[in-house]
Amino acid sequence: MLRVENLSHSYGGLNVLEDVSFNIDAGEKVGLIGPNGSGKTTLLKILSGLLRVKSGHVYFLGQEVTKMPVHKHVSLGIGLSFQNNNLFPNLSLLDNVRLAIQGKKTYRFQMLRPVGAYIDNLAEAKKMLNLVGLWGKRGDQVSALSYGEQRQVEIILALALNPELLLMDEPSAGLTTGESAELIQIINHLVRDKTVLFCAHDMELVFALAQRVIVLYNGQIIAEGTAKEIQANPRVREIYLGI
Amino acid sequence: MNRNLLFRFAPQIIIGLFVLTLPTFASLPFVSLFTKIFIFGLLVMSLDLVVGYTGLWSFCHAALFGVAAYTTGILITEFNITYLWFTAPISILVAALIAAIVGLIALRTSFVYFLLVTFALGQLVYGVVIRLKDLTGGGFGLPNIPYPNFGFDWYSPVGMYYFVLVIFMICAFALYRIIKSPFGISLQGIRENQLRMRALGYNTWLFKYVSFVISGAFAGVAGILFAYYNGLVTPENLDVTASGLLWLMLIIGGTGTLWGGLLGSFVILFLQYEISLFTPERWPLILGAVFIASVMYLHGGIFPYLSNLWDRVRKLYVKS
Repeated sequence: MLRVENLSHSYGGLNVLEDVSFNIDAGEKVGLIGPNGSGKTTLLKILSGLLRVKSGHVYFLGQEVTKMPVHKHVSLGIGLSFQNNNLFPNLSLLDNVRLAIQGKKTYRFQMLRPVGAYIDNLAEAKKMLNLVGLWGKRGDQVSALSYGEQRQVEIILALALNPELLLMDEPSAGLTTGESAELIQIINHLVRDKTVLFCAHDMELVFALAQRVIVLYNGQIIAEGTAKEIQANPRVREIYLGI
Repeated sequence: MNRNLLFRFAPQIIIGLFVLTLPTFASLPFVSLFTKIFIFGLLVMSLDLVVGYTGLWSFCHAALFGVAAYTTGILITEFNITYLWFTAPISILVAALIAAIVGLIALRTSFVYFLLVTFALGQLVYGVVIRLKDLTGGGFGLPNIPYPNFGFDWYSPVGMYYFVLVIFMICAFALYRIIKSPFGISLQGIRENQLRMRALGYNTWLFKYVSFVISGAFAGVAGILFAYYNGLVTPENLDVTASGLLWLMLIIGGTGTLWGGLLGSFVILFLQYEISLFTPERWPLILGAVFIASVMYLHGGIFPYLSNLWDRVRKLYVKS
């Protein structure tokens, strides 16, 4: 489904990604781990189209998407959720979800019908918000929600695009252990039949969700395999634990 | 229930009745003042579409307004084309076209850089108007623009007031529909978080560009009304001071509220009218004081403050 070939990227003189290649099959859940600064976020930004890569190729569903603008990526079916909550703080929760749903619809250019007239949009927003139990707060400004709730909205926004491939950057960043466990359950439920590539520091999330793990270190892939294999990998143990 | 509904919309009803019946009890200068308030109200509302809803800090709206006013004036006085259904669309098109050109250049930047680029391009338009003496009358302006010609006689200041009021209502309704539409919500999303909008699949550049051009067209409508109302268009109508005054009206009224534009236009023009009667030379001083007071004490402008106040009064009434 997704094929990445020889990606290399640098900020100034700093090489963040060096010759990264991997494949993801349809329906697979792949975790991306690595210490801070190993290039995880950069890789996700490139795959979502937010960042133009310096060299290498990305193919999605057999089509080269390397140089396409972000909105083309989205219309092909790649969705991204951010590491830091990246919402519309002064709009209502409902409007946040509406914006995400209409992102792929042609009526986003419609100027003369009120947004409330799009009943199917509202129904879909209700369905999405019910998934995380926030429909009751639809009228609240997003900035008034708790951090954990905003985290859930963050993932809902990416899912509302109904992507074929969902990219998640640190979905549980900044959550307490309890909140994180709750979020893991929610994600597990939401993304059951999607292809997912996510990066995380939270190993519980990785073990709960990932069928395959890719380890990035200094911009290079140093290991790839199931979570158990990765745990046993001596190189990974050395990097993470220093032994 | 009915009483509650009536109470809820009381301010709208009172204001509606007031503006509809104004010419029956007010003196002619006063009617003329309110005509001007509606013209500038429309202009500031069009500015609010880009500043308050899209987050583009345009400083050239007086230029777009002036271009349309000049186009109408030139068509009438130089080419003797007085037919409104011809001059008005042409003038709106010219304003939208200038907005399209300015937008093409300015949208490469954002925030304060956008403001500087639009400011410079607005001054460019001002410079062109001054230079094209034969067409625009240069620094003296373009005088003797008659009332609009519909093909029948109706000339009077009261007629002008109702003409402006009707056009204002139509445009305000259109702007209101736009901000409540999927397109309008998308603009607010861009204002709030452009990166997220891109990640959600929006071509944000296109949205900003279309919003700027639409806003330019509405500014053009206000310009046409002004040319007819004033009978004279001068370069001062489209220079940087004029654009600054629009921003003042917008900030005092409240950005991102739409109706705040009309309120800001009312506050500034009404004060200007009243104060000029007593101490014309102190007007800038008082204007400055009003501006500072509203920025310090009424965050977000007068309109949100008033609408909150009314909500509270209403709740008190409903409880008791």
